[in-house]
Amino acid sequence: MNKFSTFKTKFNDLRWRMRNYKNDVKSLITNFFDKIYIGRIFKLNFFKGMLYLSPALILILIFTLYPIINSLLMAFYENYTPVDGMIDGFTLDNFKSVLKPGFLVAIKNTALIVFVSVPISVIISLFISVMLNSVKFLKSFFQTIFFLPYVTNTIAIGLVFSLMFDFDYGLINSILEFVGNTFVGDFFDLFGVTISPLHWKDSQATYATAMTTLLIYTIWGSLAFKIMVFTAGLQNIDKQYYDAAKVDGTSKWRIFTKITVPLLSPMIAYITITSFIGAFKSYTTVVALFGETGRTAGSVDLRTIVFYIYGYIMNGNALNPGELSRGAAASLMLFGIILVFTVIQMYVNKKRVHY
Amino acid sequence: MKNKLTIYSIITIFSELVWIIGSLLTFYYFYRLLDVPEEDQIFDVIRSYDFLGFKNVPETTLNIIMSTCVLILLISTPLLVMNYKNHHTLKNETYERETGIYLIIAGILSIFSLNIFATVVCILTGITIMIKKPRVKIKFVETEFEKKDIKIKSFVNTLLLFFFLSIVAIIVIVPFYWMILTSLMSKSNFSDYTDMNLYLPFSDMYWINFKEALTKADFGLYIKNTLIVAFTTTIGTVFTTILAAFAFSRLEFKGREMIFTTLLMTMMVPGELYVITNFVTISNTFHWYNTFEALIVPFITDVFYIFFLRQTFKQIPDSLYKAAKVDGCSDLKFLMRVMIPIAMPTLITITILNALGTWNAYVWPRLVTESDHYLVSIALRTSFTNSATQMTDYRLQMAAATIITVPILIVFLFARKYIMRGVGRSGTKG
Repeated sequence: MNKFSTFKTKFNDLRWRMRNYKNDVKSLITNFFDKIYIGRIFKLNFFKGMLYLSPALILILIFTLYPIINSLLMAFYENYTPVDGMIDGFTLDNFKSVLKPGFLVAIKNTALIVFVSVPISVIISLFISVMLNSVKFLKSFFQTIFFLPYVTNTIAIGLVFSLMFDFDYGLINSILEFVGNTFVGDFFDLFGVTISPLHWKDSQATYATAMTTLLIYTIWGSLAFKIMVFTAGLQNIDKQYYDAAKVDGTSKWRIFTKITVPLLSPMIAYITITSFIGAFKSYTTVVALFGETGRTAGSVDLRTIVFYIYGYIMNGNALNPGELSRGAAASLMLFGIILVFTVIQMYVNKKRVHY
Repeated sequence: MKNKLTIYSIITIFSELVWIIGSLLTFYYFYRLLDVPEEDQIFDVIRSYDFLGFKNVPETTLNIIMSTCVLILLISTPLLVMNYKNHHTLKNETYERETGIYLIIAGILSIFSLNIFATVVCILTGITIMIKKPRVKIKFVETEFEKKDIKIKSFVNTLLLFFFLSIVAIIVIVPFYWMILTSLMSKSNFSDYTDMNLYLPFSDMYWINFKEALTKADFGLYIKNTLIVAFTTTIGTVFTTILAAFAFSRLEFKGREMIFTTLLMTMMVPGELYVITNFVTISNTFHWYNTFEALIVPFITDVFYIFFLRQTFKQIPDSLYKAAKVDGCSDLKFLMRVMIPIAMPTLITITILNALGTWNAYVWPRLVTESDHYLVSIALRTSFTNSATQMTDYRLQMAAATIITVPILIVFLFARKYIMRGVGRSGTKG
């Protein structure tokens, strides 16, 4: 007992002395830093703010800000080799070599996707959300179902579409065959249109059928987000307008064109432009349907602009001198196109399109 | 203390829980039992198994048992969740007449999951509630212009509306249905494409396809890779986002607004622009080609999430912060004790969206990895196509697609509120 208590006092003594030493050293260091005017930095708000920001900020600097500047420069390098970072000088040839016939096909494909799928999907989703807004029973059930395509994997569902449009095993061709054998098929036969299985995406597919497959999948996938935004927008419209229209006995179509669409126009403009931007970057939808070559087996070319950008990096292409510069040049062109739409969006947002 | 209804609901929940766990275990037991067929078999081989003393049980019997298990799971799990939510209202006696109607419907549904116990108790509870809360009849005075033909017209209108909405819903659902249907087909069933198979009987659901897809194409490895990457990036993103959003919303320092505006500006630049430089940085500067670091490090922060969380933090009143400061609470402590609990819904949204993003990622992983570090999307695209003949094994591909889609659907159904909240502000998928 006695032994233990002496040990305890000794230990406490040691602890006390250690604490004193620690405080001495601490005051020494702070005095030293105060003397050379660094100590104040630790007490500055700026230092504290930066401390909290630094994890995110360092990563953003390395992986977002630096690449933007570097890609701008890289597009003008001549014979850039990424392994040692050597360049021969600056040229504009990269832009010239990007603009070969294949790239023009890519621009055509992308433009088709953008200017066909976006308007169609905006109109369809507008109608669906107006319908959805006028039911009360089962509303959230339908909302949940319509939102499903947004969360699921683009590749996985694209492969399902690719199976559904298959010539032999596909559901679509089965339906076409079934419909063609009924009176509907006979009816269409009168006009010289035969409903029969089509080569959607295999080796005998034409540009029209392959593009239709791609557009159907793009529209199917892009409806979800638009329906969600539109239904949210419709709920914010003042009910008074509709009540007033009801008193006047206005027809449904007139209510839609004169009240719903004008009041929803800021939303429609926002959705249209962001979808344009998104559609310009379409890549995974094509990969899911037609594979990484972006072509059907019958060599119908469906590659988009982004295909070209990644084509300069993939499959070891990045190691060849000058390839990455061409990729950077192509991505700058895409950036230019997107910038135009972003500027339009900012302009529209400021004006707030209304009636 | 406890009333009769609480005991009833506890019994229901308990019986459903036992039912779910039982069917899960049964499914797992038979799944373990199944033999993966040999490579390059063109025709189905009818296999038979011995288990628990039974000899030479054909595979179709196993298929029926496993399908029944899945059916029980599909019915019982939602009912369990609903009953669990209802339990609270029953306990506090805040239930309505609708609760009773729902419970009777739930009881009838339980018949299909073969859970007679839950059926009886559910219907009993429902009837008790219906007796306790009789229907309140309110008679409206019919006005002049509410005539019969107008009522019929509006009824027809509603019917048409539901008809169109159902058609759209079917169009949305069909690919998912087709995927699951194909993933369960046997070889002969799939290649017999002359007649449309719109459904499968229980005995023809070949659950072995899932096992085949997981083992043959090494799909288990890719799922493991994706889980590792998703878990790490999500933790990193939440950590960096909380700190940065706190700095942007509470701390006052010089240049804060300037840094924030710069970050917002970068959101306008398409990701394709910085992929090229990032590829060089990752593969040449850091030498991370084909490693997990290449998949994780660039994605442990996101400007949009910082912006999103900052908006939530800004809604927390400043007086709270000042009160904490007066009490001598440090910034970090305030962040941990006050800000994070209040902003929890937003953090859940960020977590789910980030995990979903990794689960669906395709382009960047494709650029910086080779086959042993692939994530699920790439494996799905490349693994099931024979490189020599360019023929795709659709059944296994669809089985793999089902394996990676069903978890997402489950997460979505449970966390719909959080996901839709975040997506509404994020813009397009790109």
